Amino acid sequence: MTEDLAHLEQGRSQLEVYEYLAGQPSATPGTPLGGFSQRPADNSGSAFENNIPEAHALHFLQMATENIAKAIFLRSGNTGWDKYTHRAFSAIPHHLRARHIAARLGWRDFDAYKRFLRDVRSLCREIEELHPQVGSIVEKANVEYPWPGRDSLGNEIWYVPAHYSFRLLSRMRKPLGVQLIRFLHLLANRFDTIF
Amino acid sequence: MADLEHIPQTYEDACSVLARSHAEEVQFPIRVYCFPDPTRQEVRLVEISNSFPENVDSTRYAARMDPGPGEGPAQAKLVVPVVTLRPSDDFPFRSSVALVTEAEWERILAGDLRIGGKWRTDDRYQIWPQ
Repeated sequence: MTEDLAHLEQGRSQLEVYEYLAGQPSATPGTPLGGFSQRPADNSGSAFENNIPEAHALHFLQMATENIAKAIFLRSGNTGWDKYTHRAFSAIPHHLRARHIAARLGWRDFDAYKRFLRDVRSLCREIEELHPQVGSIVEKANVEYPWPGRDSLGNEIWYVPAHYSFRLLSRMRKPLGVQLIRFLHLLANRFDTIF
Repeated sequence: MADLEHIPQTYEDACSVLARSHAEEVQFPIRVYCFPDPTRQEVRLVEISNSFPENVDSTRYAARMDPGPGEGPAQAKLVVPVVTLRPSDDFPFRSSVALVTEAEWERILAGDLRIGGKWRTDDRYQIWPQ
């Protein structure tokens, strides 16, 4: 297995875990969840119902998108590129805006595809910035490590990702978020025909 | 808005069509440079806009840079990655595109950043706007 495909497989698996934790239906029905028990049809056991912190579901989403993006950049060669960077995913919608890519991803309506890519860019950036080392602010809300802040009296407090409301998971359940997950599955499944 | 309305037949046509298609897709100012492939098999573009996300976080990862071929650690440069797409029926050339900010472009011109595709930089020309 090559390095790019290893990242792709890791990203696929992380995406499945995200879907399990988030309680979203898989974009590829019938695909085994890699060892996890099948989710009940009523989507019970989701992050909300089972009190699984939003941060954990989003952590897997961030990792999945990073690995899928790295698979793309590694497949493209890029000798000497910093493969340890956590900045990769937000560039992907910009790279895939040509008509012939839309067709390869199964989009018959190119205008709809363009609208999707435009609309999803800020969401992709937001997912990328869930990583503690991405963005201009050193200590910030992220899905992995606690970060410092101040309470209303000015006392130092520590925010815990597992207790924090990112207000992102609920948006991922809306049409644009669902489309993004489908887009990621399509990229992974058609990887060898596109890159 | 231009699409890939016809299948490019020549390498030059492919470069122009892809650059125009990409440039007219976005709703922000953009410049596109072509880096011609000597084998004429791959369309190579650098697209420049401050609306693109930054590629390189030099403050965090400079120490981890792998040197390129023929380079020692002291000469290792930060790399802007390209995304390479396979040919298809309606675009029968490989295409590789790098997306950079204005500041990253200046660093490429100054030799401080290099493009991941190992392209020859001396043959480049601006292809959009024409």
